[in-house]
Amino acid sequence: MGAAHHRIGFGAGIAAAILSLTVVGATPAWRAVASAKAAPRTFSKHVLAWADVRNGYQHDSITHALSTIERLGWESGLYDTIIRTDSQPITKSPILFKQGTGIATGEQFLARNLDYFDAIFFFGVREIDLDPQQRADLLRFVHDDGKGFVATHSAATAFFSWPEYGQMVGSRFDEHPWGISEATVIVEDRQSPITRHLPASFPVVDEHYQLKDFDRKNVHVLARLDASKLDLKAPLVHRTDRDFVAAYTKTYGEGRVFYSTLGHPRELWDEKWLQTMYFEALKWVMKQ
Amino acid sequence: MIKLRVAISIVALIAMSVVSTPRADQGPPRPQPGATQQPRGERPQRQRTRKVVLAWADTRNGIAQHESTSHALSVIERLGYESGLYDTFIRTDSNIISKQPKRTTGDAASGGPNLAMADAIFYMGHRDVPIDEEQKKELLSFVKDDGKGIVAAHTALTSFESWPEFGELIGARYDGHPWHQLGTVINEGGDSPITKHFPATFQINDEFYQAKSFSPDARVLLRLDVSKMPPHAELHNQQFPLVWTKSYGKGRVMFSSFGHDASIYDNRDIAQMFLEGMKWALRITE
Repeated sequence: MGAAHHRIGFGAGIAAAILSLTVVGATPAWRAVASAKAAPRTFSKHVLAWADVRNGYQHDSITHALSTIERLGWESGLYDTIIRTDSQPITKSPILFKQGTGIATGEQFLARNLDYFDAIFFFGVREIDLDPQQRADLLRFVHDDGKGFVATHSAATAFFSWPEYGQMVGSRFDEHPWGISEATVIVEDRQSPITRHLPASFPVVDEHYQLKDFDRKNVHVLARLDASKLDLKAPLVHRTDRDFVAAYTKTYGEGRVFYSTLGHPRELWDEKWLQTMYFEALKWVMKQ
Repeated sequence: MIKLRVAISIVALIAMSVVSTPRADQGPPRPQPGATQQPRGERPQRQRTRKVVLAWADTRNGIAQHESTSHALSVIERLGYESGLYDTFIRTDSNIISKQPKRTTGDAASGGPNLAMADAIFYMGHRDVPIDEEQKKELLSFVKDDGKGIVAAHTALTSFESWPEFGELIGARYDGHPWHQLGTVINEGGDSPITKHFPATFQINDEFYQAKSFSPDARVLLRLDVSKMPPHAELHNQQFPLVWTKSYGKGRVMFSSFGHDASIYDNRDIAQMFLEGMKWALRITE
């Protein structure tokens, strides 16, 4: 079964790989591993799929999104994923343990911190308990280390009392005036690797967000909602410029950031187009 | 070997029909009833038609985590999702091990999964996991009194060494792993739905955990054929159970020594074993 473990190269191979990725309904890539020498797979890139939901805001879709991101990396061979719903890895300091607290032999081990990772996939919600040093380290991870940050949906609601986070992500949540409803997504950039697989416009059922505190000068918009088809008289509609952005990229210091509002319905994560968008976004923020 | 391959192919077909329920014909996602235009943070619980599984692996206590942990959690989620049998909440913290979870601040969490709404736990914690005495009581009571299930994998056996009741819950204690290599496994499960898809013996490569203080009530489904392993000074358990089931009060417990290696969760037979184990723990099967 050695062949089943080969890594797919970067570049054109990944495009082929993503097209052949298992989606629901297709044949899963289970492999028989009754093999004498099943070498552990190695991955050159490492993604932290982070959704600290200890505050209790755990949408049903969060687990499925984390699991889908893990599978996209695993099946493509591009990256491995560590899924965490706590925030222990959000530090650049060594994570040390007192003797006897974790390991029966009393040995000390280093847990993985931000330095191990090349990108974060973030699906947090609202206020998350990070101490000031963790906050500084998270910003440094992107700004100074040039690592990547892919944020989805409720990530725009996170840390609303932390201005620098808003600057890094590039926008803030300002209600979802239409609940879960169908809207038309207009793809503004059909050259970007993140959105070039998408049609010029297409309908998406989601909990569409209204964003605020973003500036088109600072972000590169990939997709927006077709405002002509939205109910602009819905009570919570605040934007008067009709600019309902749905996906964008930006830089933050040395690092790259991608954010999309799309991803509330769990089933949406089974859509190949959405998977490809986030997978390509991870590649882009990791400078692949 | 040919026999084994044939068996694997047959099981593969069965597993595909079980594991990969076609969903491609479902069309575009539909709005979820009752989920529109609720005030923020006040979403009503959607009517659940599936069982609920907490996939719990608190790995904050060192060695970060096994390389396989995230893949295992992800595969467990996928098995439930694609079979339509259960919804999974992955958690690497332990706040949800309570009927009324708290935030990190100690205030009540705003919602989310908890022991009151879960039907089973997939557990892959490691060594001493930071839960308090009240949480320990609730975890035991979840199985013993509420009749809920636990499916525990690999490092779970090393957990809570200083907590005797956890050993009674799981049915054994960790006693090292003499081998990490190809081994021959003997299927003693008979008609158990969890292991009946395995042949009478088969070979598999993994880090085999050795059990000690093994519960006399546990039913061994798979064990390692130590007679075919190279000698090892730390071999203490000639029976070497790898997979077993047991009851704990009103609830059901399954433990699997598999798997250390992340890729073992891609083994169709192992994946089916976990799915069937979860079905059994959830009382979908007997």
